[in-house]
Amino acid sequence: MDTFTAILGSLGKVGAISLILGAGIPLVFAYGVRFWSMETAPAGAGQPAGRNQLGQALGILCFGIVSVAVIVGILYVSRDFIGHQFDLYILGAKKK
Amino acid sequence: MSAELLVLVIVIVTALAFDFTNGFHDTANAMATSIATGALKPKVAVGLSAILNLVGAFLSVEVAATVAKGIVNLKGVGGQDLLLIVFAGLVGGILWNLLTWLFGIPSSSSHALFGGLIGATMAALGTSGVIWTAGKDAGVIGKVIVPAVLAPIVAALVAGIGTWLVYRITRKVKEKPKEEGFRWGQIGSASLVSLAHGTNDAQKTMGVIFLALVAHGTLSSKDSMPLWVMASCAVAIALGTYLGGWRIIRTLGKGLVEIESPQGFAAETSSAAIILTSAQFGLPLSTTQTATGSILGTGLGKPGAEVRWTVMGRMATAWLLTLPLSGLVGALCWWIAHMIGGLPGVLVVFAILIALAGYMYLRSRKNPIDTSNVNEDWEGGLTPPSELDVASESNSDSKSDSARPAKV
Repeated sequence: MDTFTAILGSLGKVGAISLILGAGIPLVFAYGVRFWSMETAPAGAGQPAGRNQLGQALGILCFGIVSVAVIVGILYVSRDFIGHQFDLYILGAKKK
Repeated sequence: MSAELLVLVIVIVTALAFDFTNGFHDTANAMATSIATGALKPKVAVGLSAILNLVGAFLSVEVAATVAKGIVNLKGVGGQDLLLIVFAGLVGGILWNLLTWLFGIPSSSSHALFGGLIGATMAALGTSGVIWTAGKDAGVIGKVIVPAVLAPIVAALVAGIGTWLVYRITRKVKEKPKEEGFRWGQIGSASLVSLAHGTNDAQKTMGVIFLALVAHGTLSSKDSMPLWVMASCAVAIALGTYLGGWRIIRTLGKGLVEIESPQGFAAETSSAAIILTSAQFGLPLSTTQTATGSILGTGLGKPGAEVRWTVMGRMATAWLLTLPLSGLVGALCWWIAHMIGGLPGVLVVFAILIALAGYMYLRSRKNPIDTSNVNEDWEGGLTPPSELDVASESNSDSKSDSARPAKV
């Protein structure tokens, strides 16, 4: 019974954090795509639509957030290695 | 070369062979979606994944001399007896990996290895050698069964919500920028899955080889991991990944759900998030089941998408059979090797492994799947339509040659 409740407890945590990252990152990225592709209204008939400056900036911001998440992910995978090689213990790396 | 040394060499070769099957069996987890959506060309995708697996393998540190820790208890055995159990377990794992690959079914390589070892241990030591339950993150229940059952459910939920959000947010975005944008995201998240795979899975084989070296007496358990063990495991898993496992890639990329790049991105991000964080929170979920669940979820989350439940059913059946069948093979192999005894016993089992592996390879050539046909439409089964045409043409050729126009 203890095992069962322990599993349920872990499942709650894993579910919550997976949902925040696994659905949150796609959410931010999707806004990035949406802002990035925003266009200004055409200046006149036959004129092509221009890029929207604000949209571009917001798009870059979104992609930047996602990039940071990816970099943290890479550091997380290599945390034990980094700890061993450089004595720099990050993200819960195991001490030597 | 003494008989003991020869046995050790065979065990190491078999462990590397397992590592190799582990590589091509799991390429699909990271790359199936990127290949199916065209974000990466098939050869580029497996090349990238292979390199990341190689790098990931070298990131492993302090690998202990253990195999299936917390699942089988091999503390009391040593020397040749231990080598024999590990060897039989590896053979069980390899054969299950090859069989599921032949049918194009993604199944967990770790579970196949655990199954083989459980079988061999039970044959050698009886049921007491197996740790069935020992708290939430040890024992067969906590380490294999619970994660395997929960992984697809959690992954499908997360990927389903992610997919729904992505389509909702970008519904007014034109098709072209949408497709292009998400392709980049897909490549990033798939790469992360590959890197994590190399770190986790190559490490398991390193542990097996280290254990074999200790059992033989070449090393003591206090020694550090020899570089050649790390390097050979890294190369074996990378080569396996580069080979591609196209049959499984086809099932995951085309068979289960028809995937577009926003879905592929949502699936890989969900997989990466779960694989990277679940261990930290005390419930490490299986990579293969997570990846499959994520892809399933993108089919559920996208309005109007179709999930092929028969394909999902076949996978779930294979997952249920993984432990018992690889265990049965592991037990049989141990028994055969033990009955014959010594080096001849190991050689006989090794020969059986090669014969069965060769047979399954030849069977796979009847409906070959490679970079050229991996993305063909899914019409009722794994075999690509172009291969079906070839088969039916050669049948009708023999019956009615004159009825067909000559080929130019």
